[in-house]
Amino acid sequence: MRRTINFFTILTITSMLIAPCYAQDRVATISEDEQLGFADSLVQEGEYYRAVTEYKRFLYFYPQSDKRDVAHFRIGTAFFAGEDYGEAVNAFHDFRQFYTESKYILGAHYLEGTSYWRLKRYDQAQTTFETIIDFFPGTEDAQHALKAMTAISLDKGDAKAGLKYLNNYMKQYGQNVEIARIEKAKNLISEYENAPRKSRALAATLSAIIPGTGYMYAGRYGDGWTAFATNALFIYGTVTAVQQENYTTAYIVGAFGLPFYIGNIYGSANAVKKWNLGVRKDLHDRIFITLGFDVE
Amino acid sequence: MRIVIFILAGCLLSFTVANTLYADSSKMGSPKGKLASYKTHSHMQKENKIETSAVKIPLLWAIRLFQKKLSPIDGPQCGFRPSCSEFGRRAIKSYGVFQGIMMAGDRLLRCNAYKKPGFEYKLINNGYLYDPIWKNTLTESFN
Repeated sequence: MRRTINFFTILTITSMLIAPCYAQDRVATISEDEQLGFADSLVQEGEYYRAVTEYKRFLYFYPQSDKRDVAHFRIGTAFFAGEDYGEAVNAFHDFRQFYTESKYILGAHYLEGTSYWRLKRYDQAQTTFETIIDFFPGTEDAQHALKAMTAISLDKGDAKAGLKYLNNYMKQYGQNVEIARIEKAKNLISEYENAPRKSRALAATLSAIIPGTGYMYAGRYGDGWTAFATNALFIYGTVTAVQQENYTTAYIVGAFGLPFYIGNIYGSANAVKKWNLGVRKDLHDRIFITLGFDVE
Repeated sequence: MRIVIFILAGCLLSFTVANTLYADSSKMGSPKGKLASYKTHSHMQKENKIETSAVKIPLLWAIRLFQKKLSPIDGPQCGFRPSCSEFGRRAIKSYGVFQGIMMAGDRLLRCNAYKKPGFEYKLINNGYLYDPIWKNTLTESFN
């Protein structure tokens, strides 16, 4: 029995020692295309960070490859797709430094600008898009860059500058099929500039005189009636208590009612602010959609 | 036998102490993951500050008392998130007593049967409407 156990123990140990030597001869080799294809498949599955690792593996194992620029560019696009715009900016910036002759250079510029835009770093985004407009005129990316400049100007609250970029677009690409959309966007920007505005001061004054009317002025009738009824009850309670010379009750009811009264004044101004924002946001989104950009 | 009991008791005691210490340190530690990004908001930083104002403390204490003792009696009733009391607490902490009370008063008036999802309020999980404090300051900005 013991002999059998010893035999199997020695056999197991021997096979464990031999196995790696045998496996060493059968190392799996992956070609450049397979490595890139694998990384691309990870991007398609939404595994952006793993894809970045695989692109970096490609760069490490194939330092002489003529597809290095592709891998480097796709590191940026993977970060961009994963909405990690800070890393995307770094990746595209590095790409532009290393591969000045690559065919992806324009794409890297555009996506770097877009990443800055998503990070709300508007000035840097505009500088990047301006580079595209100045150095690559006539390209499709330059056209997109002009539209992006318009949209960024709107995000910065400068509608006039946006209109200026659209005029440039019409001057440079007057024969383009998209010109009808640009014309529509121009009209919407003019509408945006002259969007109706309601006065916050008027709303607050109205609510101070008759509680709730400021909300109604901002188009929020439900809130207006609620504010009116609540304040009317507290005011009635306080006045009645004072008339009955029950000053303690008047003080307590008044103290509880006061936050609702000042809240109604503040809320009316707040409601008007939201009304103004709502009108502008609606126009802003319509301009973005017309120019072909996503809205939040 | 006594030694075994002694060792077991010792293990139990050290486990309890370690657990308590860990729980405390995890409460006091810096937020991780998603919370870490909230930390970047200036009003959140203000909220996390230890309160020293003599005017704010009783108000915040009263709101806490309401949240801990009164509110659980009939369960969650507010349709907004953060709830009205939490909104008030955060508003007072972040924007001071006067503006905080105004914001809380406004929120209580808006917490009525007419509220509905749209541009102002985003619909979130369980049918609640998202209405954070930063959207209710008087600063006009999309962001």
